[in-house]
Amino acid sequence: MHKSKQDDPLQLLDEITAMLDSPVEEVDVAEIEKRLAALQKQAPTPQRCDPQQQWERLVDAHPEVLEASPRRRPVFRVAVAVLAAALCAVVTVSALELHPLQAVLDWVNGVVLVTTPSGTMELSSAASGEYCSLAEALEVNGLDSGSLPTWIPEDYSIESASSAVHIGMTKYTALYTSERGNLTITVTRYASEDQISALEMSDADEFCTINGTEYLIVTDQDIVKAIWQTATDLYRISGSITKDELTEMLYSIR
Amino acid sequence: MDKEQRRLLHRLVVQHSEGLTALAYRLTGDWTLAEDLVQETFLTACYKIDHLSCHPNPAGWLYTTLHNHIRRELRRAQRNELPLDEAIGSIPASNRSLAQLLPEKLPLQERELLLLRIEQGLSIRQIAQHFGITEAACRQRLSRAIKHSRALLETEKY
Repeated sequence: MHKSKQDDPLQLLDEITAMLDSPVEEVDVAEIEKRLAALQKQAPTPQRCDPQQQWERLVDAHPEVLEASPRRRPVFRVAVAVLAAALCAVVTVSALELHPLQAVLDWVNGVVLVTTPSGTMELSSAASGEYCSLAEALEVNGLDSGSLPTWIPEDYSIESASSAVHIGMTKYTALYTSERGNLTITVTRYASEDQISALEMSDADEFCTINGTEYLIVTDQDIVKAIWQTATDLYRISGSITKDELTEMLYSIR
Repeated sequence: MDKEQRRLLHRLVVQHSEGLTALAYRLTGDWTLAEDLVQETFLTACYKIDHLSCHPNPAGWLYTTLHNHIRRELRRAQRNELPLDEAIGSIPASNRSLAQLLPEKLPLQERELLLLRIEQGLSIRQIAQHFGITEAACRQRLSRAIKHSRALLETEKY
């Protein structure tokens, strides 16, 4: 306990500064303020402090620091940061016209089981990839390539062959190009027969049977399509070719 | 900062602002600077509110933090302090009294300080006792008063 022996202002100030040099836990604020009050009687300060004004000045100058908010735990802060980062990533990727959700679903496809109203459905174990030909894409993934045409119009050359995994289905696509335009052959393997619906046709469409297989022929302006299906697969040829060329392709299927 | 911490800070400001500002004034000799240093102390408290809210002596922490800010400020000011005797000696001899020589716009307190030191010849310690501030604070005030006088005299010339 510090006791003031004199009324000398400098002595009082020395005592105060000595008290302030002690460890912070032991600083005796009551004694300091008692000495400050004694000093105020002997030598008044030029002004008096208004505590409420001090508080308002602090709040006005630093509102963001004094903003009252619920106490946040570190785990909550980390979760908020992760969510914010994820949101930024989704917005950025969406702006680039990519599909992050689809990419995630594609990734988990083949790894997880999806429960549907009709029961548990195991997704294909096939992975997305690039191939030299559509036949290779099918064979690598355990599908029969015998239902593919062996002839295509001579001016078309292959651009790409790939597979893409989606929920409940895997799509194998070959893209051919020529000066006339594009030609695609797509094979869709469904995980369940339930997912294949009957082919719908309009008045302009027609069915034709070649080598015992029924094909739906669709003509849409310059694009000609042939669609057919097996128990688990849906085949589609679509491109800028003539109807005769399409028929020739269908005849080339063994 | 949660509501409880904000309440704690408000209570500390209301209870100790007066004492803290008085202390800062008596150690620096400058009321405006004292208020700024107290604000700086409370701002430090805001940023360290998690530490302060579980401190065994939050008021003691405030006084100690303020004292640290004051010491830093005094060290900074000391580097720019005028050598007083030299500064006082440079005042030209004149038939007029110092009170007449000092610029009209000089604040009353600075005028009084200079008169006590130069005209009445009081020592720094005696002036410090008179104002209830430390000798270091008194030197700072005298230095500021002389600088202020010179600046005002220069302005008055033109």
